[in-house]
Amino acid sequence: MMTPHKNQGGDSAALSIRSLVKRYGSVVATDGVSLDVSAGEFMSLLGPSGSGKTTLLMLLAGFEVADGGEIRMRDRDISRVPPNKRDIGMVFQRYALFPHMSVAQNVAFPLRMRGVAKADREARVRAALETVELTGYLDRMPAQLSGGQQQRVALARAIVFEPGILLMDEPLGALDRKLRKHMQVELKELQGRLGATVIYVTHDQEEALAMSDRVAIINAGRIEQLATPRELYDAPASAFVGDFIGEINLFDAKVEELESGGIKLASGFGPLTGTPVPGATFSRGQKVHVGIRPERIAVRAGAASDGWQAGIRQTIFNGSNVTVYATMQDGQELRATVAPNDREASLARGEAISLSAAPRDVFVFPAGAA
Amino acid sequence: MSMRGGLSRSTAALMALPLAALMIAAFVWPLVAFLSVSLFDPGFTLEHYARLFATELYLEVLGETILTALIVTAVTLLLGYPIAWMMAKLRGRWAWIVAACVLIPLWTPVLVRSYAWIIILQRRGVLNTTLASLGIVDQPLTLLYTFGAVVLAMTHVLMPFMILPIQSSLRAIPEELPRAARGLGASHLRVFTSVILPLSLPGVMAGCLMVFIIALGFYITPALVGGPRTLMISTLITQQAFELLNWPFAASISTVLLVLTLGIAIVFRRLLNVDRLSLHA
Repeated sequence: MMTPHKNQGGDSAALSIRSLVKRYGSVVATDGVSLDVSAGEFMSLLGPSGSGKTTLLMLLAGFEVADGGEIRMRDRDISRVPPNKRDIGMVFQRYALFPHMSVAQNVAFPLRMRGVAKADREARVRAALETVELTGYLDRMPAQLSGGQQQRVALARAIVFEPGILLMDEPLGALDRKLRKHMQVELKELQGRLGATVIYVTHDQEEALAMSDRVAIINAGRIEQLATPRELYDAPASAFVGDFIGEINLFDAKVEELESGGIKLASGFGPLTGTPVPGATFSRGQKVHVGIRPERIAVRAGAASDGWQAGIRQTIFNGSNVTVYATMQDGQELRATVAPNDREASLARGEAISLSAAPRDVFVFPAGAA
Repeated sequence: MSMRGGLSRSTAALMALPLAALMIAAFVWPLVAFLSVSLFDPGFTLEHYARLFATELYLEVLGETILTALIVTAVTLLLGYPIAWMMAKLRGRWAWIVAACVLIPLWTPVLVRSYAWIIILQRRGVLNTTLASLGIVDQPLTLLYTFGAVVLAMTHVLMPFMILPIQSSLRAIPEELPRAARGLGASHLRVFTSVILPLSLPGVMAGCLMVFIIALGFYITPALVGGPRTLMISTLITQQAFELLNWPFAASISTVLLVLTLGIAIVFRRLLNVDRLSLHA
């Protein structure tokens, strides 16, 4: 599991997906997905429900067979290999522990299916349970365990046979918020310790950002963007990604002028300069979507001449920051965050403010999508 | 589901009272009265039990009854399990069709179903005429009034009692369990043997117990389809009670049957510890 493996491309890919397609009748659930996962990488498939991430997971696990394309694991085409012959350890959303088997029997299950001798099996079960810090629980039944403990057993069961890839389907989805946070850290540490390649399916963007080396944003059966959490946040490739990851102000504007430093735009509340997303081309007069993160908008009290004039609609205290809801001149609303101790945080409703944002923080997306 | 937060215990007990009273008046009391007939004739005596256990014929009938019930249970299990599985898997229209095939016989009187078997199995019945016209047999086969006919008809009548509990326990298995087993390396066969079969055991046990116990006391079907030569214990009881008017002896046979049934029910529960297997994950 830990030895890097070279493929034709030169870098070590534990898993390669090429132009994968899956249709259900006229619905295209997976629409030509291509993806490489490096050995030891933690990759999340993140998308809203109905985005096709579950179908992708089912294709990877082998519970569904693709209509087109290829899945390769270590240069072996597994597209048509049945699930029990794939070298994938899976952790399910509701743990899927076998209720009639003890913890030890659950963890031994994949070893038993692979014909591992009894003595070896017992040693490996112990080692796996030790890894998830559940020593001494061998003879418990799943129903006697808490949610977090059941989750650990499910994890031990998935890693005990040292699969090439760990596939996790919202594994923390059934836990309460506090335990989830705790398990995120543990899971990430465990993954690092084992050097395991993990594909993690979730609809929780916070979780994906916190744990992943890279995140694939899935929308309408396609990968909308595949990047590190930082890149997704700082340079979303589309309005959808910008909206899905973190908070963003999205509004329409029109291209006025194309310059080397950025695009000059006209919006309902005044002129602004933005940065085009990579790969998109724009022309003068084109309608575009503009996105600005609330914390990248500077708020100043009073009507300054160089910003966009606005009025305070409301300020909401969030603890670490304060969200300012500003009503712009054309009536639309922008959100901006300021520090709780700033003077702007304590402005009253109706007071005049001016807003501004640096060109690199103003994302310009082609209109039409999202 | 529990009643937690709903009715208080005393309210619940109060609501159960009318039925409890009816059961005691119309079932428990007559039963106790009837069974006590076997012990008091008019003073206390074990004479009828002594006679029962000393007569080879009666013990043979008892043995035959148990054997028949066992065979019927085994056959309904073997035939019923796949049907139950199919019912649990099917969705939509086919699920309704299969469910109707299982349930409609259940709503048809046993008498009607037994006569139907007579029409099929008799000397000039449907089966024999078909076989003869196809040239498979020259002489009509003796099908009716055989042990085989009794097992066949009883299996048919009791099939729903096996299928329904198995089906419901199969349905209770969350679908991610067989899927997880597949993903962890189990072939289809091993998914069945190590996950589905063990988890359906409570249903299997309930079905077996129900079929076996009903089969032990079966009367109409064996009497009609089995003829005079296949004597089941219930036929014996009827003979003693209504033909020979020997009520104390009929009561003693009944007592033996009741004790046997209860004993088997208890052994079943203990032996297979059904509760441990129930799903509470």
